Amino acid sequence: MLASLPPGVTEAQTLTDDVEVGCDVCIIGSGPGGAVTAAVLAQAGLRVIVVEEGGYFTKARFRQREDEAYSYLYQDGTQRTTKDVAITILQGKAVGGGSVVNWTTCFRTPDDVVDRWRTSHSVGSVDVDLLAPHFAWAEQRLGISKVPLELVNKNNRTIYDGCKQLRHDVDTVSRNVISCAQTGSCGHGCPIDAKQSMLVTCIPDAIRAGASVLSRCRVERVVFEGSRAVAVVGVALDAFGLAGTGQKITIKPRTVIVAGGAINSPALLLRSGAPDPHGRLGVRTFLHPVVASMAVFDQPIEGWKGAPQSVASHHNAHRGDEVGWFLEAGPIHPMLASTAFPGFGAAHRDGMKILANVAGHLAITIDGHHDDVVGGTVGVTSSGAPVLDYPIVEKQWRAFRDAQKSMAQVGFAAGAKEVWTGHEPSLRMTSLDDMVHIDRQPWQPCRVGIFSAHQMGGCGLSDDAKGGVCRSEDARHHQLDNLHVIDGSLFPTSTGVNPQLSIYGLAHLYATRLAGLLKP
Amino acid sequence: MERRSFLKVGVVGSVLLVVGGVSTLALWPGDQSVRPTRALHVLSPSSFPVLVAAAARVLNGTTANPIEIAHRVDETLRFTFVEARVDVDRLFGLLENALGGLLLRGSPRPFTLLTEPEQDAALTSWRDSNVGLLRGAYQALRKLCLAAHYASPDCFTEVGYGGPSLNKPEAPAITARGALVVDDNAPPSAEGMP
Repeated sequence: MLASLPPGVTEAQTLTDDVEVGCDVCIIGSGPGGAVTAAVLAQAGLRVIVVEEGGYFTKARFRQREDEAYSYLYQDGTQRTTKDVAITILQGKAVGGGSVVNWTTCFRTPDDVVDRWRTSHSVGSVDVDLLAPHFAWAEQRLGISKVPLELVNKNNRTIYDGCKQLRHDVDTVSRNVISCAQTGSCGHGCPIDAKQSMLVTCIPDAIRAGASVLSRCRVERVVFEGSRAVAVVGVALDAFGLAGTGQKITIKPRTVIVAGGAINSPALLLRSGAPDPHGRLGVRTFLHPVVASMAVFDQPIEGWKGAPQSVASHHNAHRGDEVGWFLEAGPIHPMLASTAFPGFGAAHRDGMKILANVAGHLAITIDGHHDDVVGGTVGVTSSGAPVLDYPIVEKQWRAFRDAQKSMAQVGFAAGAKEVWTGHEPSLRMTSLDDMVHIDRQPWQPCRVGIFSAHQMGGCGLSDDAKGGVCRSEDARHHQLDNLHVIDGSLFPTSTGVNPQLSIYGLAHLYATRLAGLLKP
Repeated sequence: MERRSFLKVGVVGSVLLVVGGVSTLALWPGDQSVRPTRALHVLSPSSFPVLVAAAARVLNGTTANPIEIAHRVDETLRFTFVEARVDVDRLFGLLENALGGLLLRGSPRPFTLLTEPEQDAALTSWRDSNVGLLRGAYQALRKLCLAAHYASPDCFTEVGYGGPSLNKPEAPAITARGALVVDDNAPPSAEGMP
């Protein structure tokens, strides 16, 4: 039996003994929420242990290979979907969490979104001014800066040019990179550590301050006694993350921080039997559901080269009573593109043969901001795995249709000779006249490709215990005295922008508050 | 906790899964002559030839070897949760099952005994079905096979993809109890950097 863990990363697959250790704070999850929190609390002098189900993969193993990355760096080996298989969910799993594989796009949470949290979701202790210095901290620590237009690759440039032609608002985005070599492989783990993910920033910060990280540890449950969390119980997994090694992990902290990310955090609390008297756990889980458009050009686009995302248009983000969306590029690597391209057999193969000439446009729809767009609900299977039931409501289908038309306009305005939809079978438009067919396409689950790279909510903030899981003062669980949630699952709505900077900022705010509260 | 099945959609779905997966109503035995060439991890031996037949249609005209694709799918399925693995295996039973075929496409012949055009028609009928379960099954099958082929360097030439832009050395092989972390200080060399 091991009674202590050294500072640094311990890979649980290498353990030959069970572990039972105490600490001030046990953080479950090492992604944007958990890593920022670990760094701040360790630097405040607290004894911090981070447990992470993913593996300790570093740049030597990031070789720009889809076959390696998608098996090891994503939840369920990239097979995570909604319960009805209609929405493919890309969600990271590694030391560093989703930050290891995201496409580096950074936006502060829009002011109107933070304001809505206050006015409509009883989030009384977070506002735009309070968050601002924490966003500034993240921007400085993670090297977040705006992409110059000359570094925009052809894939993103089609969006920029198309939007400019249409007089749509469009601009380059900010990215968390330093000395980026434009390899295009952000989604496979940065091969040169240019991406300032948690793996190379806040996790090392936490370790330098004395924190321990236990990778390949699957937390099975948090143990409660009355209103207190008294233990975090898990098992060591093999290096592949597939099977238990037989070693048991028990951590007995003073405080538990749940930071497994949306979907995983509520699932952990559900399978642990956490109190949920008002049925708030797992509900209002948001995905920013994405519909795609493939714009085919005469000239090569080579959408696998350069930063995956460097341009965004929020021209259609605010549509009043209708669901809005924002437009960004999707990188074109063979595997990801093959699953986004509809069809099978010869029709699919013929599309793949001209992959180099295809630009990927993504309409990222904004859920959770209308009374009838409430997102999905997380449950757990009999084996304890998370399952997300996410019904798509009519207002979202309307947004998908409108977004598909808008993307066709952008594509043709940028000079595309054809624009394809993700329907089964695909609508292949050769001019704007063909847009009339969009409304007639089969807008049904599993008849059109829908994706999610942004998971949010499920442990929502609300100062009203009947309205959310955690209070906004310190992200503490309403019914548990020493359990806090600090990750994207806190968001009461989707963020309406790529969420990573929102998580960094909110985590830094809460970690800073907790550092004062938890000091021995 | 409630048993939740990722392909299970309502009563119809439940019935279909039972018909396809667990019944022994093999009214019309399929072609089981295609054998795995290495150990299976998730799929049952009876599902393997069905997946091989389906992979051949999904990847028709590519350089993919359907048997190799089926093995890669089997290996990929290890990464998902146990209920999903069971459901995917049942999916192949449903595709092959004579009673299922009769109910779903009007023909009791197992998928492996259909002609290629008939197999394409069977997949298309799932694609266009009014039953969400079948559309989901079609998508799951399609994506698993496509990902198995297009994630591999085998496809790079056929799609005009140049492959990784950096020439990084192979990392040490992953072993069950070995550390994943390796010395990251070796600088990569650049080839064809944009």
